Amino acid sequence: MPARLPSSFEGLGSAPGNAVDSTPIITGIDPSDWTAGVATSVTFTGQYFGTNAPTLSFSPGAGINYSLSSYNDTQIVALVSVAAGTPNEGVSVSVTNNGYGGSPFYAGNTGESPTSTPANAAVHAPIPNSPEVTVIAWIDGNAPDLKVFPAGNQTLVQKLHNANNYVCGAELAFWVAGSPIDIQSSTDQDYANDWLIKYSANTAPPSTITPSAQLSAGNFRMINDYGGSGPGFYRLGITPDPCGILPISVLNWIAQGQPNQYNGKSGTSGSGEVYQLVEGRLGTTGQKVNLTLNSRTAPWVWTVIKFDSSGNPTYSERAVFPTYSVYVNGTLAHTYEQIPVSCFSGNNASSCFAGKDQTYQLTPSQIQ
Amino acid sequence: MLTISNINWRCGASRLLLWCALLTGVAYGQAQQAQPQKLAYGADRANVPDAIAKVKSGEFGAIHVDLIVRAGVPEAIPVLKKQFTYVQDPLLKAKIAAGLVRLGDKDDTYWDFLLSYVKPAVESDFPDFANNGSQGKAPAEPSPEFEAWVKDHNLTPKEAEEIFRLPVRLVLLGWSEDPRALPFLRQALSSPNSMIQIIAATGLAEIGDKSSVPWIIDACRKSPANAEAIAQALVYFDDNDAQRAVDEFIPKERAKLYRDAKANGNVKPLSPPLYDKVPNR
Repeated sequence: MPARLPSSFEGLGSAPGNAVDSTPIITGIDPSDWTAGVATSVTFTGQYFGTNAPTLSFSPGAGINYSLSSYNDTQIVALVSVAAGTPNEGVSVSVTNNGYGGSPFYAGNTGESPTSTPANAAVHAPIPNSPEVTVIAWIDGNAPDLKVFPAGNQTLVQKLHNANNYVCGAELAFWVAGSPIDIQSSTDQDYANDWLIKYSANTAPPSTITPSAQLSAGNFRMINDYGGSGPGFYRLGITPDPCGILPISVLNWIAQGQPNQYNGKSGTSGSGEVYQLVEGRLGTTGQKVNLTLNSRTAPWVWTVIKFDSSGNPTYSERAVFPTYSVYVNGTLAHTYEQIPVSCFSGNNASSCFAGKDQTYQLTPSQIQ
Repeated sequence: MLTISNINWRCGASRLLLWCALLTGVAYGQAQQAQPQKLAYGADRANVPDAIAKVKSGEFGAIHVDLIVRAGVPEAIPVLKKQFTYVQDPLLKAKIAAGLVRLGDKDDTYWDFLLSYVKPAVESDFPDFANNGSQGKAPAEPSPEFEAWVKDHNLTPKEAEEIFRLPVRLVLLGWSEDPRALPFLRQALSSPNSMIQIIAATGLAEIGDKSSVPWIIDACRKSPANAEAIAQALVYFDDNDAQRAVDEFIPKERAKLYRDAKANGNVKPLSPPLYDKVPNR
């Protein structure tokens, strides 16, 4: 990266022979979700914005205007106004450096661009008269099928329940590496699946919640929040370590759920309702275990929150696993229970969650 | 503290049998009604052609390579070699490399790749990630020893993340069943990390090298907290010293369980046998 003029030289102009200016870089936009019909104070952080008033560009830019509140080489604060009626859409934002100390951006012969690579923001249209709906997807370790375990072979049982958690950890490492140790029969398979789910379960969310607090607490596989006056949010959770050897701070790195390509997608359904889809599956390490145990790719799980034109919500479109607790304005309105985890010993493995594969997913075109 | 595992293995006295049965019934859940028993995919010899087809198609995972190699299908070598060049996932690539080594391919490319992939696990001196949490509840924080180690080594979060994945790599060294793995697995026995120790001992048992028995016993003595876990590998050796150490380090009932499993055909710890039908337990 070419060096900029030292600040003591700023104001002297960018005469030939001086160091050239650098292309701006946006590293943060806060907030990055803007409500249509509202003016929002937005902070853009980064480098090489210049000290002359920079230019912000938006794509698509229809209905979006801004006024600069403050600016310097690393931070811009602007009041961003989005016209009422602007639809839900992603917005690319670029910063153009207009130079330093009254002199224009100087690239010399380097070809440095004064305009940054675009960064992502989003516009959401408020849903009139809508309540805030929050869906928390969580694994219920006390589901009926997880109270009554299949009769897995005793070697498997003893390793998973060993007092030394590293024995359990080693067993899972073998499975990650593709060695189906101690998995001989369909009942072993069912036992292992049930055990992994039961011992990585979440605690049940309470009957009333503050959605943002639930988001921070992270006790979920997936959370979807949409409607009301706020911008909403969504996030995939982690898979807790069933053996109890990896600290939670580490799980945020290696056990993070994998987002589906449509995760976070919002739009209008075939029936004319606006929606927000959240969709993901367990992380790549968990997927390797799943493949070894079940010889299947991992299925997806999802939740859709929709509103009609009057702001009435529907939230029944979801995967059959895990358990989904639905809150309307923070109060539990409905709980959808999870189907059994594993039934390879039965006659229809795919009727249970572990018997499904990656073809079990929801695409936006399927939203009703 | 009375853990599930303690409960189960403190049930030796016959007068406690009923009490123990009730307790473990609650802990593990009761057995469901009998369901049609089938072989799991990775235990069913009939799935070998399917595994080969999946590898050929490029839509496969480590379990398919594992099944092919355990079945000892040398005809699969060209297919595996081809996929070795395509596969991006390092773990799957190393699994293929280990499989080719085990199937007897003489091209050093595969052994060299495997060794370079596994060496960081062997040579690293990272301690346990955390003190044992209670099962199903991850400990909140890394162990002070691990935090100090990360700080001393000035690791970025991304580099630290890779440390947590290292034990899995070591699995492949023993699974290759290549004697060239012996010095590395012996070295790993002295790792300060419990999982590395357990996996190294298991790998030595997979290769079946009797001259490694004293090394495993020595590791048991030097790591009392993991002695039983490491000693499980000794069950697989037809060797008096190994069996005496099993009796020394593993409670009687549990040792019987592991020996019974071996007597029923599980003669290698990383290579479960293939069946034509569900075996009787």
